[in-house]
Amino acid sequence: MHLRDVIQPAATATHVVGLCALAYFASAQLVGLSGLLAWWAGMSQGDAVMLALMLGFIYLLVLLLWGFSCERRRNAWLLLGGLSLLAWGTPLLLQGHP
Amino acid sequence: MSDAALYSLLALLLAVLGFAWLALALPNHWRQVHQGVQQTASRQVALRSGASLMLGLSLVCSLAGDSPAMAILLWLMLLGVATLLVALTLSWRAQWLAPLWPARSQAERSAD
Amino acid sequence: MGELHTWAGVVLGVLLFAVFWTGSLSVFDKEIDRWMMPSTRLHWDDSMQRPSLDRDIRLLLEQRAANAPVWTIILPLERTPFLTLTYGSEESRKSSRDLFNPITLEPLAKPLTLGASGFIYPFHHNLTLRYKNIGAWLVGIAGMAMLCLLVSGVVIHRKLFSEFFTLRLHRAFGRSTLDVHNVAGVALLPFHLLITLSGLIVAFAIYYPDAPQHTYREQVQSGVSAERAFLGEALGRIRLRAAKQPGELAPLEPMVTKAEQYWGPGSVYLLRVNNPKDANGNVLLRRTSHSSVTKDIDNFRFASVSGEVIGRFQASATVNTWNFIAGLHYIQFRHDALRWLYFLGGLGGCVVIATGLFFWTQARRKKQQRHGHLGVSLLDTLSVAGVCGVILATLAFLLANRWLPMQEQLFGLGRARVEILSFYALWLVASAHAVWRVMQDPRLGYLHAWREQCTAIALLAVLAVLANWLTTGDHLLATLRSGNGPVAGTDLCLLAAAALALLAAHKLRRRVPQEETLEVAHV
Repeated sequence: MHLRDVIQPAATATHVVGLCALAYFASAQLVGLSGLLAWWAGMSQGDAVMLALMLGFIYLLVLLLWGFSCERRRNAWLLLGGLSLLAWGTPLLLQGHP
Repeated sequence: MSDAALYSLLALLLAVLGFAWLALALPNHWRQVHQGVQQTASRQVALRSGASLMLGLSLVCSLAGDSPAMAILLWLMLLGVATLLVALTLSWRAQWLAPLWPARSQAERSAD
Repeated sequence: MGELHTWAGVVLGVLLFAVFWTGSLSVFDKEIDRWMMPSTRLHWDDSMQRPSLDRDIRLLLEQRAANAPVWTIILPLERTPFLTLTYGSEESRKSSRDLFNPITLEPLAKPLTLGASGFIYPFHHNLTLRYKNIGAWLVGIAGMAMLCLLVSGVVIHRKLFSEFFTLRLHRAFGRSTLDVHNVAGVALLPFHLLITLSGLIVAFAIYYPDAPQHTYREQVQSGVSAERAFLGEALGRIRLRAAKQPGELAPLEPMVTKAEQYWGPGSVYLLRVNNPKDANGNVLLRRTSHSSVTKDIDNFRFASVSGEVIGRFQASATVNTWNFIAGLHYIQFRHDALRWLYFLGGLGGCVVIATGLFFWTQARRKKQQRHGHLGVSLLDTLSVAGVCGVILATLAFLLANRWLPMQEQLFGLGRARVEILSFYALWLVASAHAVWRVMQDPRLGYLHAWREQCTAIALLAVLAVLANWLTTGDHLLATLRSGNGPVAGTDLCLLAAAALALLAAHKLRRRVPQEETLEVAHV
């Protein structure tokens, strides 16, 4: 048994689990951002958050499928990582740091 | 049987007919049911249009028997049941579907 | 996409099966409860006279829980044909619950079981692993995986449009397994999509707990929790403080009458009296939503002393969209045809998952020469233990419910807990049997395991029906004649399960020599 036979599956497993976690994190940030934008667009606070929550799982599904259909693994990480950062940072920029 | 149940049954039957026609529109199933008769493009169009009509009527029947949300939900479930029934019929007694859209001409029947 | 489908399917297949299995049973959880709690096999319909709140129910509450901080009254309904009184206690957070005949108000014998609604349903959404919501997270991950499987499954089987109805049941077992998987998967696609997505959306509070943070920033900055503010505004969940001064509870009937002026006669089914003996207590009223998919969360709130309306919550259109989605999943509305279709659809999902697992085992077996036996053996064991195991465990739960003596404590444990231990014990035994069979014969042992466990399922299912007869006297002919739907239905489903399991065992016996020449091609 070569070292390759251990590293390759382990690397794949890490990629799969890690990307899933990143996709979830990205979707959670997007939910927070969506709620804020929906509120600013005129919805009540409760409605805005509820709408964002219902969309959250759709975001997650799209991000997971997008991430796993990337030709190169690196691109998936860059894409989801970048999106997470944007979604996490925008509310802080717009509202000012708490 | 109550009104709602009757409408649901009718909706199911229409859905079964619709999916049977959709199945027959596919060349390999048409040949399976009609013993070697070839499928034609015009017949496929006819079958598919008929199927859409049947599925639409099936939805209308559902709506007649229930509140809209429940009717649509019921219709989606009945579509699933209808799909399975047609698939099972094709698997076990494919000939049963033959009368649903007979192959007409003798010339077609003898062609291989 | 193909790799994603295979990986997700393998890792989560067993978990998904358990979730779909317990979910299907949960559709009829209240009916299974009647089977498991014979003292509740009563009849109730809308035409019957509701028990008097102020004359009779108040008396019962004063007798049993005069000083409890919360009283919950659940009036009899068709699927729960008894009065339920729940009382929190000052000392512990746990509450106790008593059931009463809806007409005579005699206390019913304690069920001494959690029943389907108390064990199987919670298992479905959180695996009864409540510590840090670990169980709910696992179920959520399985749910997301299911969504990915559905979408990627459709993409893989793009050619489905030309093979839509192909069900080659008479062909080689591997091919027919894939066909069953594909056809059932396609036929039930809309249902599975709706159920899986709605199941996730219902539990948003667990999966996206920080969602309200940015939007409710003002409240957070003034010291209120964002989550509390959101639940209060969107879902009407408010907690009012006690005044710590004594107060007399006003009559409840006028409150119900007032609410029903707006909601319609007979619509109130739940009253929650918070701090009944306090000057600032309040009474919350909820209504049924039998005839709409949307789960109704509107409430009326009355001051406990004056009986005046102090609040009326009506969910907004956006929140009612969520309630519609939740209602889609919970199916608590009245519609027998849909309920049965949901049940069969859920079991169809179980078939899709099980055939997917089975087909994957067959396909992997071809590659095993290169990678060794371990992976395939592991999967064989997992498949049997996951599919047959959980079914056997459920039957053990039902059998224990009937056979264990009706005592509060058994072997030093509560009776309900012993039933649950029986569930896990038989699952463990089934797993051990699977391991033994696979180790004994790495090539064909898994088939023996499947066959023997299917036979065991048939046996236990029939024993369960017999157990019901022997311990309650309500045998199938009697319940069919008297129109006792829940009990007759459960017995009939058990018999149907036994028949299907025997059929499966029979088919598997014939397959054993054919496995040698199995030719499997992936689409």
